[in-house]
Amino acid sequence: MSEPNSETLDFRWIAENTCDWESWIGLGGRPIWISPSVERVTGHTVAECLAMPDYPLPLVAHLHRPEVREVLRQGLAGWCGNDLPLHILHKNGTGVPAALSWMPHRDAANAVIGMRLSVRDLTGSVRSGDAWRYGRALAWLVRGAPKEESLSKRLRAITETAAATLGISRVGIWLFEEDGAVLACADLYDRSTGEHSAGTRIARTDYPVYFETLDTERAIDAHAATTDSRTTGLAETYLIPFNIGAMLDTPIVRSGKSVGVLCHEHIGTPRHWTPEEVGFASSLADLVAMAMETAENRRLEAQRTQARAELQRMNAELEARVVDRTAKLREANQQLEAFAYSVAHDLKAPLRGIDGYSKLLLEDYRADLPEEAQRFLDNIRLAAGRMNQLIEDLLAYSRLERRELSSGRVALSNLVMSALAELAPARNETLPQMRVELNDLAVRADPEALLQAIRNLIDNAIKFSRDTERPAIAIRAEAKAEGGADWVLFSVADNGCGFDEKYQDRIFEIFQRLHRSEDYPGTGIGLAIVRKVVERMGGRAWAHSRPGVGATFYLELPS
Amino acid sequence: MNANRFILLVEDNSMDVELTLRAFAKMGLTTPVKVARDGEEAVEWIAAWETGREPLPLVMLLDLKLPKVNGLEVLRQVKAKPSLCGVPVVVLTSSEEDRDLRAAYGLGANSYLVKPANFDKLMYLVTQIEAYWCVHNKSPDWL
Repeated sequence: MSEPNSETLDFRWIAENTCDWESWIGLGGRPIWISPSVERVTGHTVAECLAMPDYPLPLVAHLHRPEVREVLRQGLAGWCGNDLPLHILHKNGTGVPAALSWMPHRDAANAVIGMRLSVRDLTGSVRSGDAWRYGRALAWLVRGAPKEESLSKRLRAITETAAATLGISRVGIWLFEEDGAVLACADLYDRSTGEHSAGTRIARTDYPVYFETLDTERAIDAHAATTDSRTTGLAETYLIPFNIGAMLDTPIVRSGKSVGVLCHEHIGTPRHWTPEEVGFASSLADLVAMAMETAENRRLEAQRTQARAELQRMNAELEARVVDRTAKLREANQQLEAFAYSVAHDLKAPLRGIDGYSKLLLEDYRADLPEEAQRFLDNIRLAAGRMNQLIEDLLAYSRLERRELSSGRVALSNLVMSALAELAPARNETLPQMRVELNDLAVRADPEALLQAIRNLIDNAIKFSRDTERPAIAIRAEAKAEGGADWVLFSVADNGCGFDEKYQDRIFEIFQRLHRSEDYPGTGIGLAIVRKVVERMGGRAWAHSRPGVGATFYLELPS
Repeated sequence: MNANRFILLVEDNSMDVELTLRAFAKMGLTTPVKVARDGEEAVEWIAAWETGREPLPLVMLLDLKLPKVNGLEVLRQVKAKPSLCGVPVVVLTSSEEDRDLRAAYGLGANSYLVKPANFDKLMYLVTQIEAYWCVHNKSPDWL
């Protein structure tokens, strides 16, 4: 650009250096002078322009040519005007938004000798204006969407916004079906009628080039759809019947996979898509993808909610069943309790009779009873006594089953002392020597139940030491840590007759006895009670023994 | 001793009645023992006491499981009536159940004894009962 010379400062310099593209047209309609900036705006050189027939019409978008012809006529007739919006066709095919202004040239006598055309390139302002408009449209779509909007409503909002914002007549959302073999129309908006439709299907096999382009390109901006190599395959069946001049197709992508295409169709004439329009269309396609994602999420959420409700219902049902079964169990327990109670009562009454009358016989009729008869009566009384003991033991065992065990800190010394205090020596016997070493230990237990167990162990130790010369019983307790918890090992050791260790487990079972009842009286429940008590507290019971030497019974109790 | 004072045994089981009477006799206890065979008879005695037709007993030995009117009901009636609540009632039953114990004491029983299965123990028991309620803690004759 040469420096302006104050003497040569004239319109020519201004014209040559202006950003606008200026043309001077002569009366014959032929260009006399064209500013060099034409090349920047249109891509054509000045020489090419001067050689054009009908200049400047070949450079004007078809849509605007009639208007421009009128402008030329008016200008040469002496009228002026400005800011006629139009699109200029760039040599590379894009459309350049511009504003046309014109005024006549007059000579000194005010006669029209020509006209001047000024074209202002609006790309900058239009583009920023467009960008603002597109941004606003996208923001409205994103923010304005009601929370629970259905997918179909959303798609319609998108197609309508696309049509209105880009100023096009047809917008369609097409989605792939059958694994990409078919494109089915989910929504087609026709701006001229304001109606939505759906359902049309096109097959990949019928339009291979178009489908392949969709797979590979980011967007198809076909400004002349019928002739564009990517879309020309659609001409016969689709473009021409619907008079589609230009297409802007942006793929709809979800998780990196193409699931469809958003089609913008301009009716009638070709149309150049600006980069901003292509960007806007891509954003719209993204919104479609998001809408589908949201709809999918909502569906999954509904499924999840339903599954959760189902789970809750099943839980409630199970709970109800548990409550019902517990109630039934409690009822059964109560019935058992009532049964045990009445059985015990009913069994004990006749036993009183047996014992009482046999005793009366022995006492009041002693003189009349031979020795053998007396012995028979003694046996009767023994049998009755044993039966009574059995009933007592059974009652005790069942009471244990039924009762809820409490759990508290119990000092072993208290229980052992209680049990020892209850021991009354039988008539011709002395108690064995007792050694007690409890180390002040306490356990977590039900005191009554544990007392019964200890009582039974001590009773057994005494009973089976009856024939030992110097019976001695040792009661011990020591702390033990095992498996991350603290235990107390309680033991009752005697030097009585002992037992074969191979029966170690059997002796704890109910009614299992290792001796005949005449040798060692007992009902076989004592140890069963011991094991039950200890197990219910979370502990263990076992025994070691050597026949003829003695036996030691162990209880492992939680501390 | 006032010849009118006696022990009332309320018991339905005839074997238990005979054994108890025999136990009293064998121990040489002199207080007379009268018998009511079921709850209804016991209630008749209560009515007789209330109207003054019969003198109050020194002690009532009461079984719980009685036909017609059960033992607890008899106990309740005796202890509820102001003129009779001073009569000592010793519940004599075969039940060792907690709930019977609590029910009896709840209604005001003076004592709860379990019928022994063994006749020797029964003899010992009746001796104690007679000693306590008919001698050492005998209620005054004017009661």
